[in-house]
Formats: sequence, C-alpha cells, structure tokens
Amino acid sequence: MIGRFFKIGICIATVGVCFYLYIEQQNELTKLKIKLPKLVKEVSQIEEKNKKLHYEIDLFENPNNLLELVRMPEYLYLRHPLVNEVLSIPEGMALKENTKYITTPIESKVQ
Amino acid sequence: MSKKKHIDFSDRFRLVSLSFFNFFLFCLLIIQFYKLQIIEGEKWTKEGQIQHHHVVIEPFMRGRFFSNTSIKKGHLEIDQPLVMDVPKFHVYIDPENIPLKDKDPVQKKIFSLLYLPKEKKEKVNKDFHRKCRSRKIISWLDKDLADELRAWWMNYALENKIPKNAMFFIKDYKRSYPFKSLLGQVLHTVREEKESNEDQNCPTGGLELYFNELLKGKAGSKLMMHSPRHPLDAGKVISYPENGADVYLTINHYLQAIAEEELEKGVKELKAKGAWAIMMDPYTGEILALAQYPFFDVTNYSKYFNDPEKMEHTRVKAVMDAFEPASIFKPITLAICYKANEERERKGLSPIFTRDEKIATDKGFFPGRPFPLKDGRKHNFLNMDLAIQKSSNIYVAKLVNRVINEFGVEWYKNQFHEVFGFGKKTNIELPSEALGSVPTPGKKHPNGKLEWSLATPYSLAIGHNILVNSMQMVRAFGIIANRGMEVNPTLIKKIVKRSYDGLDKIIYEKKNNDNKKRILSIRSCDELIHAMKFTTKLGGTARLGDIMGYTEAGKSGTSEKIIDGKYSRDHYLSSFVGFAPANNPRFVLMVVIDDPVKDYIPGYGKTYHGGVSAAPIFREIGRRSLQYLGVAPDDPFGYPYGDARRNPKKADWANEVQDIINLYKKWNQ
Repeated sequence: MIGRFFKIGICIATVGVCFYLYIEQQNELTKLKIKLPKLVKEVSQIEEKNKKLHYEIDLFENPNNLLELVRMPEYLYLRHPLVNEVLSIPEGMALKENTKYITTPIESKVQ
Repeated sequence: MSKKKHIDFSDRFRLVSLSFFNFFLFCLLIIQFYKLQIIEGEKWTKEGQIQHHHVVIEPFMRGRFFSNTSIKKGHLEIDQPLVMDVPKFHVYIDPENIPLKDKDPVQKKIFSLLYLPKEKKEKVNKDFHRKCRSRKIISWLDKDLADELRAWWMNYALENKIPKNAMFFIKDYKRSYPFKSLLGQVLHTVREEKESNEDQNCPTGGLELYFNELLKGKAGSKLMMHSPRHPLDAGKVISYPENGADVYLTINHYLQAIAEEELEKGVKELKAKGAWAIMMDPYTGEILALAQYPFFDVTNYSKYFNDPEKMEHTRVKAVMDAFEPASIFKPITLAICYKANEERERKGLSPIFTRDEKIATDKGFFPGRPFPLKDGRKHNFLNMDLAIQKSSNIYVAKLVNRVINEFGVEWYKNQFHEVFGFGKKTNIELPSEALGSVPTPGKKHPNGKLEWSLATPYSLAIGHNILVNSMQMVRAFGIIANRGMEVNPTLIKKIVKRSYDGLDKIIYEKKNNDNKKRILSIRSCDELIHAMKFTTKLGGTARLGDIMGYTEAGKSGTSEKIIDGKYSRDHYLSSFVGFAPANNPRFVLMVVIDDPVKDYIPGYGKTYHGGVSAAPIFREIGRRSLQYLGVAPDDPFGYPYGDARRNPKKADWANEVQDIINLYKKWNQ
C-alpha cells in the first residue's frame, strides 16, 4: 500500500517536473517574443540612421564639391592615376607565395 | 407511518409554470447564443478585430537611380545613388480633440522647433481651428525633429488630459538628391502630392516618367493591437512593402559634373542662352554624360513649371530639340560618298572620288540653286583633307553631285535613313525624343511645296534642309569613331528589383552585342578620321578644340536658328562634335551652344562660329575627362607655346599639318 502511494507520488513528481520545465521553456520563448519587436524596431532605426549617414556622406562627396576641393592649394598635388599605373591583382592571388602576378605596374596586366 | 403531504393544485401549477418559464428563458439564451456565435459569428469577430486591432500602412521606397561607377579601370565599384528616398514624417492633428486653451501652446511649441515663414504659421493656425478630425499641418519633417515633437507631445497630452492621438505622425519617403541639380533634366523629379487613390508619386518628366512603372512600389501593411499589454501580437506583418526597382545608369557622376561645370563657364563667357553636351562611348553606346545649362534644380521644380521661360530648361534639348546641323554634317556626307565608292568597287568600276583628288572649288553653281554656294573663303582647289580642314561647302556639294548623277536621289536619300538612322528615333530611354526630318522626294510640305527639289541634295550635303537631334549626330559620329560598327546610344546599364529579404532580381541588364552590323568600312573611317584630325590643328576651323597632350578628331559647325519660319542672321546654334583619342577613342563628345554672343576674337574668328565657341568647351571637357579616366596622353609633345613638354617637331600630326599647309599654298596661290 505504501509502495503504491510511493509510486504514484514519484509519477506525479515526474509529471510536475516535466510540466515545470515545459512552462519554463515557454516563459523563455515568451520573453524572446516580447524582446523581438523592440529589437526589430531598433534594427530598423539603425538602418534608417545608416541611410541618413550615407546621404550626408554623399552630400559631402558631391562631385561639384570634390571639383572645388581639387582646386584648393593643399590638394593641387593630387592627380588621377593613369590606367597603366593601376595594378590589379586577382582576388585571392595576393595571398599566394607565387609572386608572378605581382610585377611592376607597367608590366602588370590590368584587368 | 408518516402522512403524505398533500400539494395543492395551485402550488403544483405555480411550480410547473415557473419551471416552464425558466426553461423558456434558457431557450431564449441558447437561441441568442446560437445567433451571435454561429449565424453572426463572422460579423462580430470582425467587429472585435476592428476594435482590438488596426492596420498600419508601411510605406514603400520608390526605385533609385545609380551612377556608373565601373567606368574607370581598377576603381572600386561602389553603388553611388543619384536619387534616393529618404524617410520623413508628416504631422497631422485632430483639431476637434485639442481643447481651445491648448491650441496656442501646441502651436508655439511647433513654431519653436521649426522655422516657418509667416504665411505658413498663419495657415497652421487656421488648421488648428478647423472643424475636422484630421488635418496635415507639417509635411516632410526630419526624423530627429519628429521624434522631439512626438516626445514633447506625449508628455503634454498626458499632463493636460488630451487624447494622445490628437496629434499623430505618418511616415513617408521623400525623393532626395545628394548631388542637387546634377543631371536634373535627365532625372527630373516627382511631385510632392501623391496620387490619392494609389498613393504613388507623380513624375514630372525625364527618367522618372520613362521608368515610372518600374520605379513604383507597393505599400505593405502590419497588424497592430490597440492594447499595449499584448506586445506579442504587435507588428504582425500582413504584407511586406514592395520597393520600386533600382535603375543603374551609364552616366558617371564625375564626368557629368565636369561637363556641367565647363558648360556653365562657357555659356557665361559667351553670354549665350544655353548649351548642352553629350558624351558617349563609341563602342558600347553608353552615354557617359548628358549635360545641359541652365541647370534644372529639381528640388525647386515648381519654380520652373510656373514660369514659361524657365520651363524650357526642364527639357533635355539634346534629345527633344531637332536642328539643322550645318557643317558638322560634312563628315556624314563624305561617309555616304565612301559608300558610293564601295558600290562602284563592287561593280568593278573606279571610285566616285579619292581622298587625294584635286577638286576645283572656286565656283559653286549647282542645279536648282538660284544663288551659288560659297565657302567661308575662296579656295581654288581642295582635296578631302583640306575640305574638312577649311569646311568647304563647294567640295562636298560637288561630291554629292557625282553621287546623285551615278546613283540617283533615292539612293542618296536612303543613306540618311538606312545607314545613319536620321529621321528615326535612336530609342534613347527618355521621353519625347525628336525624330528630326529628312526630306523625301515626291512628298509635299503642309504648305504644298515639294520637300525635295533639284537643289535639295546640295543643301543636305552641307547639313541644311535636314533636321537632326544631337543624339542622332553623336550616334553617327560614334559609327565613324569605332571604325564603322553599328552603335546605339543607351542610358541604362541594368535594372534590379530588391525584395524585402535582400534578394536581387535583375529585370534588365545590358549585354555586349557581338552581332553588330558593319555600317561603314574600316578604310573609309580611317580616311575620314585622318581628315578630321586637321580640324583642330593649325589652319583648321577649330584650333581651339585641340586637346593638349592628346589626339582628337572632329568637326565644327554653325547654323542659323530658324525663328518664325525664317533663318535668322543674328541667332546661331554653334556646335562641335569629335572624339578623343583619335585612334581607339574613349568617347565621342558633342557640344552645342545656343545663341552665343555675336562678337569677334582676333586670330580666331567670330565668336558664334562652332570652332570658336563650342570647340574650347569640347577641349576642356575632353581634357579633364581623359585625365579622370586615366587615359595616357598619346600626344606627349603636343602642348602649347611656353609649355616645357612642347616639341613642335615630335608633336602628333606636326608633319601632316605642315604638308597640308604646303599643299594648300601650292594649289591656291
């Protein structure tokens, strides 16, 4: 009789623990669900801010603005490089030990 | 034994009646329950949803335009937008829910945040006193200001017990231009007021109009619960916003800025009405720059559309205006003569003309012309190189005379249409392209006169009696510059549609066409380029077009404007079209000046001539563009007097120029 009660007690305890764990998990999920909309809103706000910054950078990098800057005495030394002065290295090749791809600029094949 | 209690009939009756009555009430309840839950279930669910949920519209972004940043070899290709949608907010109020005592403090706060003109403040004040439930008072507010105003309002509404939704903010996207008026006429803009039924922007013209169907998007919607205690259901997406497709142009913003700057400088120096320029890659047909001055500031579009004089500055004149090309047409005439040569060679006959042939050009009498054709100066004899250098009318007219005597007028006229596409659209991606006009034998004008008369071929030879738009001219010169292959101008590199999850779908991508038709032979193009190189050298009509350090080939032209149906002696269209470097050109460039001042520069000539007005602008745009593109100077000794790099003996074309000067003296003195 006592044994039977003991067994029932263990079963109830086991069910109770499982139930508790399940509810705990559901609570965790619910916490995340509550956090998600806030995170989504934060991410979209950061994206919007990013776009705004890009826009402000573009305002500064307006070619008319750059053409004015190029005429200033402190930037007069700048010039556009010639095509044959630009060295193009295929992606990934620079890391290889084989240096046949890296030659003097005039000799290099410009892509 | 207990006695049974006897229940009276009246008690029994009362009991039964009450039971039946209760049962009846219970049945009514069941019926009502059935009616509400089953029959009208959908209706009340909907009502409940309306009460507990509301749908928030998520605005979409209209498609953007991007510059061509892959134009320079070895340059990092970062997307550079020319136009984009920037998030802004509209402020709405519910005037009936704002008590009278609070109207002034709220207005005061709004005016303290925004610097509004007096008329606008009066309008806002009127809106606050209207009898309505929703009124837009401020448009296009920046996010920072909107957040500040919203935060202040929330506190104020709470303190003064005003419903919070008496002021609300609607998010929207505004068309913004980081590069201001750059490429204004080509891009155009959209009106601030949207189409109310579809919430779409209304384009004002240009590419915004041409690609409107692709640039349009679709708003999304989200389901939001009224109760703030159920944030789990907040923001359930019903449909995602669909942004418009992005259009990648062939135009490079830096080259465009160079062209616009030089045009502005040139127009101001020449006191002209305006100017435009087209730069095109002769091999791919990609338009690298399409500039026009006066500029069109798209951020103040209403200023232009409310003023008939300013409105013409919103049109892309390079595409929409047709004009008589005059002398810049002569290389085209010669190209047609070369086609005639090839026809003769196919039949085993001798050519109509050769480049070195000495042709008498002292007399300009041609059939059908009441007056003789004249050159700028009298020349006794010229060959093709000299004819282009001196821009001789009589020389080209004589060659055309030979062509029509051999092949007839129909053949000659067909070359304009079939070979060069004059009188046909180039199909450039802009609205309202002018077809131009080529006279047709046998056809009549609206006034009853024949389009084609005896004298017409000789007018056509020198670029009169024909109307072309600048894009058609650039295309024709592009064919010569690329050694005779078909080329079609285009503004579009690709069109991409981005989905909400960041995936790109390419709707259109320009592919290299390997099956291009050959229009002219390589030999004829080489000889034409050879002749056109003399234009910008000593003795040529456009010495001011010589790009220092580089070779170039081109032709200048000056045409009288047609005003009230007649040629004007005081108003001109001056042009120069050429390409650089002369061999393996990087671009074809055409510059047109509208109505330059009538003046004279000693040593150079009349300011309204193409060689004096348009050629220097060509030179400057060409030089700066070649430097930007990193093209190595192919005439490293061709610099002006005083420049340390100059070497007149080693400069390109130095010997050829001397030879031709000697030849001219020999034939004409």
